[in-house]
Amino acid sequence: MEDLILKLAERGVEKLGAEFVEVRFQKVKGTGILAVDGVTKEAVGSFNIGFGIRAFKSGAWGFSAATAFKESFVEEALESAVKIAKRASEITKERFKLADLRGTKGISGVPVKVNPRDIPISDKVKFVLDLSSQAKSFSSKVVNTNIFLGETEGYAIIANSFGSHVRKKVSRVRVGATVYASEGGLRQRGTEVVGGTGGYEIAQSEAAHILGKTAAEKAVRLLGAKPAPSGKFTVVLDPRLVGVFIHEAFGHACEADKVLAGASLVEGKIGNRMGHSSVTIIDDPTIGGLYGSYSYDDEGIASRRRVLVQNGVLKEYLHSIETASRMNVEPNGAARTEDFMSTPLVRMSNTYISAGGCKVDDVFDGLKRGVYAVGSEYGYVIPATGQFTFKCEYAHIIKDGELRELVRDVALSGLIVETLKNVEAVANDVKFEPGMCGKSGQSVPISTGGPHIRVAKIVVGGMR
Amino acid sequence: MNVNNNTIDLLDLGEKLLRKTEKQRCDQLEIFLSRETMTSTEIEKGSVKKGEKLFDMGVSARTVIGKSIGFAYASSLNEEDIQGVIEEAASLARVMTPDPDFQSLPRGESYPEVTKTIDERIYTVDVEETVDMATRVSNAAQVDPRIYSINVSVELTSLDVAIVNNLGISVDEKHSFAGASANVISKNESEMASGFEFQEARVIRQIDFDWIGREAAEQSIRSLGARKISSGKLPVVFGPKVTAGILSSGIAAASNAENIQRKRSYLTGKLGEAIGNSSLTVIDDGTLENGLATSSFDEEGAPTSKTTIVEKGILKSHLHNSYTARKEGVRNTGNATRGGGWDYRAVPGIGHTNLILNPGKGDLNEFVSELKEGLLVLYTGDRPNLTTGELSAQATVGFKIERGSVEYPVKQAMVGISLLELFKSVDAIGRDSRQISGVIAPSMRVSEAAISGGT
Repeated sequence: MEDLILKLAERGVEKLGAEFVEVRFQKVKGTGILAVDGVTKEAVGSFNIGFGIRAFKSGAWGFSAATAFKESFVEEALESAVKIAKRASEITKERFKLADLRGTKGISGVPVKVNPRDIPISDKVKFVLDLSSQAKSFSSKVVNTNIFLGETEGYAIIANSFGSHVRKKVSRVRVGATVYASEGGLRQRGTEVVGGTGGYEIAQSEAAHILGKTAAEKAVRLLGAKPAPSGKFTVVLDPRLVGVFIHEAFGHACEADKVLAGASLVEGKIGNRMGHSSVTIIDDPTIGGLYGSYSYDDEGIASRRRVLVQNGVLKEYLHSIETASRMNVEPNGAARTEDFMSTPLVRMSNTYISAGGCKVDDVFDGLKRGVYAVGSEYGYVIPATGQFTFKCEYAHIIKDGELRELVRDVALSGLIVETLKNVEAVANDVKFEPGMCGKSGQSVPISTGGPHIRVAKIVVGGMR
Repeated sequence: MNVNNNTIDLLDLGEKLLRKTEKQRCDQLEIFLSRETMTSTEIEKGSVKKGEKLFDMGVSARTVIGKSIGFAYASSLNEEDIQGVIEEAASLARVMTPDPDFQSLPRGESYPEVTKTIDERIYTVDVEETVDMATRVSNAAQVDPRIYSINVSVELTSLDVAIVNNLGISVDEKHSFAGASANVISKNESEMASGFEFQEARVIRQIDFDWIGREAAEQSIRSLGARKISSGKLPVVFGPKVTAGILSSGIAAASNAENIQRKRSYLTGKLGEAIGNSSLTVIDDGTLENGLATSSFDEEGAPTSKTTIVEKGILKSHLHNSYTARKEGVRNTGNATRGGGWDYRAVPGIGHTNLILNPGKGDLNEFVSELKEGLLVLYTGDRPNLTTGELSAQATVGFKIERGSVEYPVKQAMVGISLLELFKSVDAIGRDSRQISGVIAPSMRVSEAAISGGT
């Protein structure tokens, strides 16, 4: 089969007249177990197999993909993809060539200490049920527990007409707990997640084994929270919120496809100051074991660390083969897909604000009045303007450098560049959290992180 | 191209495998099969960028052993892969804890007659034709020299599904969907602003490609020159897209019986109580003529129906699938869904079908003209918090209303109100309804909400 895949890419260019052809094949198996209120509510076995073929001609792409794999299908899909690319190239206005890259050859693995397939499914069931009872027994106020264990394992083959041929292993494990607590008509939610690339050792970690309790603790504590104030405040953001914030509000704007589409506020800003000199923003798929890590991207380019912002100055964008060709730079391995049914898009991996010079306590010190915002329910941004909104999990009022009352339903909003310029302090306690990132209907595993940071003049929206 | 195995009859295949596996040791078995083709084109910055032809076929199996349930899927319709899926689902069912609330998969019964048009053209359409459609949207967006970037997507989907189980369900159906969207960015000397518009329908001819382009472009031009406003309390007019989001989460998801039974919804325990004023009537209707979510059976093969969720402000019913209905001993409302809709990869859950807010009088322009001062919100990415029932929404596309007219675009304004307050203080519901992702929603006005400005 691999021979066939390699030959197809060549044939699409030499015989059918495409300028570039890429063939991807994927075979991934997985298991997911969800326990709700101490009962295994869902057990899902998954088997995803299929291929996608992409053809390029002077500025336009044709793509054809199908589930399953049959040799006769593949030939037809190749012809279809090339035909679409040719037709689209006839009418496209923005013509360009892809840089003639050297092919990459490689096989990559993922270090797996404990193969998830070696753990009996009954042990996994016991694990989620133990976390369920741990959450339930934390407090009589806990009304609903949801514990999830998921794992995927398999491989992808990527070949293209540059002569690239990459075979990469995929192996990820994730454990999540969402717990609801209730009291006097008020309900609150606590969520905790542990996950990474690797094997079942991720589920055997200390953090994973107390997940039920930590999520329950959060939900119960939030019952005592008051509605948030609104107005402009100096805000201390915790590492989890910093990670999601920097990913959503700045990382997406650095995706070169957005820049080329005229939909990014950092268009033409390389070398410009985007934030306070204490702010350095990194996207790095090479950090071992994190949820968003990978060795080769889905165009077969070897991954590397990307410094998006160094000491407040914009340094580079995230690139695919196409965007790098159009902007005349080297691709930096940021093209990713959800699966064989979708085309590579410019994506982030593990995105974070890197450690600053001060201790966590210093970030709070001397702050007369402010808000300590923790975690993120969700957030979104308009990349063209940099206007963002983030819902935090909860917050504390800060008075004279001390944490005071707990508040809920806190939303932060502002303009990203203004906000990054208003950063006053960056601590040295970088932490990461796994997550999924959506773009154009495709979801990929990522992680986000950073240290505690303090930012002046953020708009806090609350209910009172 | 025959990549899609169009010749296979999904119902026959399902029946055949059901018969083949009945000898195996599982008490109940359900097989869901689907075959989807997607033909699409994307325009980026005014230029055709990509055409796609995708074939997604797959199968999932639910097996029941005693009161334990297993589920497995494969992205394949090969017989051996289907058998593998059934075996895997059965092996999972063997180790799952029994679910005392589970009684049975749905049984075969009679189905409502529904009218939904199938656009046969979508089954055979060439990518070339979607290129032409997308080009129309793009051309219509060229309304002003300040238009900086036009991004368009057109997607046509054909979908065949079949569901069989060993309790007598054996159904199949065809669907066709067409959708187009435009994201337009305009630019002046100092700033950028964006506008977004879309339409979805069952047949291509119901999509107004020119309107989508023009509307997105005009929205983005109108949003240039945004100002911050001060905090305070103001009446708020919500456009149909915002109303749709509020209804979809704040009513449909909040009255989803799974969320109620698990006490995840702010509407828990409120059945029969007033949750809004008498102008509020919300209906879920899976049988609506030519609705986007219309089908004679739901996604586990039970009949669809028309359910009044809220009648004149009173919470009347929850939305059920077979599991939650049997658990409570009530009628199954036929609201089983799989993921975003007919997705073989997803375990059946609960979702709304066609969700309808009964129209009232007037429209968005009238609601604005009646206000001395207020805020108009045409789009927000925010959804209400299901658990607390609180809405805190950024006016992503928002305008200040003064002396009965739309004065200027706003930035960084947030609207904060609890849903129970919102539904009580609705003082106008329009008759300008639009179909937005299965929600049929008009404009709506609330007499007062807390506005947090950007100053």
